[in-house]
Amino acid sequence: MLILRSLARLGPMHGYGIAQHIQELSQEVLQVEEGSLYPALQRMLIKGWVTADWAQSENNRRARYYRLTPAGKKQLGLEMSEFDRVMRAIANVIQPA
Amino acid sequence: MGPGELWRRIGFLRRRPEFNSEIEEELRFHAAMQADAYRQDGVGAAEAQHAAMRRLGNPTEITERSRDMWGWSWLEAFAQDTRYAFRVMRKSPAFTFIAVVSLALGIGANTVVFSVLNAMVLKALPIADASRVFFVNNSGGPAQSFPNYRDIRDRNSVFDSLFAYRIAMMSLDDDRGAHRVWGYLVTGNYFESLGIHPALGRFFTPAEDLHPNASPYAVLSYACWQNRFGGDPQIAGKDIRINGHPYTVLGVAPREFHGTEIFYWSEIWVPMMMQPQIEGHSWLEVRNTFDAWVAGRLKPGVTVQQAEANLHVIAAQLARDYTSNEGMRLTLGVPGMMGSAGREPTRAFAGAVMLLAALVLLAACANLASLSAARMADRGRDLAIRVSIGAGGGRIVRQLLTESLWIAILGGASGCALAMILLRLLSQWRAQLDFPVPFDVSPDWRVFLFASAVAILTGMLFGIGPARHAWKADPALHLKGTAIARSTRRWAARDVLLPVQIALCCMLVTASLVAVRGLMRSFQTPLGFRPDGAAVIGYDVGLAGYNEDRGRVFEQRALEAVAHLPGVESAAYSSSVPLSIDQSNTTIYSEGTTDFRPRNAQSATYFYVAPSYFKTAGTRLVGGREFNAGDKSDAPPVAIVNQTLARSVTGVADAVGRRFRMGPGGRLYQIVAIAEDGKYQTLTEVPKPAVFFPILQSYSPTIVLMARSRRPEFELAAEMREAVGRLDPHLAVYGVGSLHQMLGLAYLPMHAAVVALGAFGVLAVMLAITGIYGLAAYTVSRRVREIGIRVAIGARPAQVLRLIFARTGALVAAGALIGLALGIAGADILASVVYQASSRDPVVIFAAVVSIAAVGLAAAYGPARRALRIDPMQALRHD
Repeated sequence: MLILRSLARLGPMHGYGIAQHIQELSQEVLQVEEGSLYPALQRMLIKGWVTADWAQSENNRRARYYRLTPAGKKQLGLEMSEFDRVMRAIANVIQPA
Repeated sequence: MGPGELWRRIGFLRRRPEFNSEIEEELRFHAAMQADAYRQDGVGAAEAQHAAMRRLGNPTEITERSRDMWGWSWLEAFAQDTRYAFRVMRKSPAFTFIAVVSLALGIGANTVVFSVLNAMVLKALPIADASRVFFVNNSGGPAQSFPNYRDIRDRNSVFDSLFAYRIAMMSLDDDRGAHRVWGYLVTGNYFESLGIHPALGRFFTPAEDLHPNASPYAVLSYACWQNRFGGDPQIAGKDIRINGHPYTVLGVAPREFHGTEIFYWSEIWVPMMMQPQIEGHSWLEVRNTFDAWVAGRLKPGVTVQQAEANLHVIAAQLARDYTSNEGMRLTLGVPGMMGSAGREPTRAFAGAVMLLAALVLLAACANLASLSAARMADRGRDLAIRVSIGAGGGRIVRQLLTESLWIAILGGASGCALAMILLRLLSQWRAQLDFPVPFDVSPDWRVFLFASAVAILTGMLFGIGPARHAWKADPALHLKGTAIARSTRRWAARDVLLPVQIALCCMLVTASLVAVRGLMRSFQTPLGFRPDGAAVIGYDVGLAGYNEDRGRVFEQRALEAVAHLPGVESAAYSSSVPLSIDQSNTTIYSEGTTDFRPRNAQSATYFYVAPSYFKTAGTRLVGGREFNAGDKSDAPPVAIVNQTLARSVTGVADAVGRRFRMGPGGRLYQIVAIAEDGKYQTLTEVPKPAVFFPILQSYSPTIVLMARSRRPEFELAAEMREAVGRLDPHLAVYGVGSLHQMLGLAYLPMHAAVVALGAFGVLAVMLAITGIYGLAAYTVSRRVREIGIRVAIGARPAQVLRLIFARTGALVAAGALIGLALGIAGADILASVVYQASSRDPVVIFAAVVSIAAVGLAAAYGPARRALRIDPMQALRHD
């Protein structure tokens, strides 16, 4: 979900960019493991949530850019609302009475 | 998994080669960006690079995990295993060759047998919804009388339609003259019940069932239409001549339809009502002539049990109303082989052969398992290295199973190819029979399914042993080289496999020897006549339109013509000869019988024979006189009976001068001679009653003309044909050849059994040789160093051999003994198929022992030579 959300916000982005983005926004709380990031991206490619294309990066290196597909947007919506539901539930439970 | 996802996964396979480099490039990019970031934080360039790599972790692992996401890792592992398997197979060509060949033999044999089984028992007739069509058995036999058929047809409430048919011989004219053809007489509802559609024109209708001799119509088989009438598209409506009478062709049957019997391909169908004209006498209204076969299509929803219950009631009524039906039982059977009467024995025979084939395959598997178990020990070190650098047990087992699977696939493919060649030969083979017996064993999808299932199963079967071995092996022992010493002392699985395999082979060899010996003896069996030197031709003057008077004249002229041919010692004619297909039975009562119920009757095979028949056939008369020209229709009725009938109908052996009655309330016949007992219907039959009547006192339009001479039978037979052909060029003469040839059908089951067993015996021997060779060779190669040491300290060749082969020899001997015992036990079953097969025959046992010993020696020769040639100096440097 975090990857999808980052892609939604940033537009097409390479793996490193996604990891940086998540790290910055979470103020270094969430460290993205490369060992999980790339397999996860492959999984999303299989599911058809993202597509990947090679392009020149900002500092002129060849990088693979991932782009959210309509199916990916739909999936993001689903996951967001599910996350919302769970968060609210947790909040309700831990709220001081 | 959605379709899009599936496509993406499959698409992945195409760009698989680039995948790794792409991911690696992506990771390099990642690390470079990371390093840039570190540098911006003020870290030195080299340090930043290192830190970035550290941060990234193991790029190979990330790549592999990304790759695994696509779910093709099993395929990749399989491809890898396959490449490795082929490398291993190339490295040990001898093993690969032996493995593939023994599997090819095993699987090939099974495929052939299965195809035959498939063609005979499993394949349904090419008719619509064949599973609803049933044959109606009459008290276990196929035949029913036509009046009974009509009653069953009209009284039953379970058949949609019930039809009758009969195999009939006809003489068909085409532009090359008259030909004897085999066809069917069928009731008008025959084709409609079967639900088949004509290739041309139309089929019969129930309108053809109304009046005898009033429906001169015919339906041709596709082959007959093509071969005899040139595929004439206007054939429907044209007139053809059958038995000299005009018949109108209504239509042509579809190409794949040959009638309702699997082993009989009909050329022509004629309405049952034409039976009197076709056969010359009518049994359509005769209650106790059982000449028709009955089958029908059950109504939708009616079960076999319901139908049989209904038939049971009808049978009881018919048995009550007519004495000839006493004890009638009506049961259903699968059509195609004379009902259950033919199918059951065929199925039993095919099942037995299938069992043999399975045994051969089992032997091949045992062979391979022991070979690969032996080889596993050699590969122990290789595997141990793989395990110690981190290959999981599962991965190793998968690798080994892949290897055996590929050997199985190779073996299966070559086995299939072998089977196809054999089957093609078999399909082209035509039995030397006076009968259109097709042998269509062309394989269909069932056969291929069977062969692949067998191949994969065997692959698993012989792969599991070594895999299990590898699973349990301790890599450390192998690497130290000590595992070897241990495994020679322990009883390994291969020590059991070898005797099992030898036992199987030995059993097959014994069985085939018993069968071959039985065949050899059966050629010496007293047949009750001497086929050597007898030439025969057959013809049917009825088919040529002769009446009885003209027929008699013709037969006499033909006999004279043949008797005057050079070299002919004696000549005679008869209605049929023993052991040919055409056999008829009659009922005989003793002179005093007044109660003519079937239980008081004797059933006897009968023949109408001309004077000097017994001399010509070589049948010995134990008392009395041969028929002579005086036994004419105005003379008192006489007969010659065989010894069995003489005893059973008169109670004494010397029955000359006594009398018996033929048929219920029929005429009395005086016995003028006793003939020696013989074989009349099958070679394996117990002595059966037979009776011979003078053909001058009766009449048969179907004639077998026989001449005895010292000349080659074929030569004489051809001259006989010419001589008879000069008398009437329009007469269809058939069965030209030796009397031996006419007996072909009697010998067919036995020939089949002997050929099958012989083939399996040879297979078994080949498997035994490869098995023993494999194990012996392995033993030698394992113990090269030990042998070297022993030779160095002075062991003599005999001692070396004893050392190596004592155990193998003991195993082989144990297996051989067990197999011999099994083979002898199993041969009793064989005795029912192969006449004169006896397992308690010293020659057979001796031959089996000798052949097994020869096999053992032949197989062990190579390894033994190698063992004796071991040079101690080299052996000790070995490894």
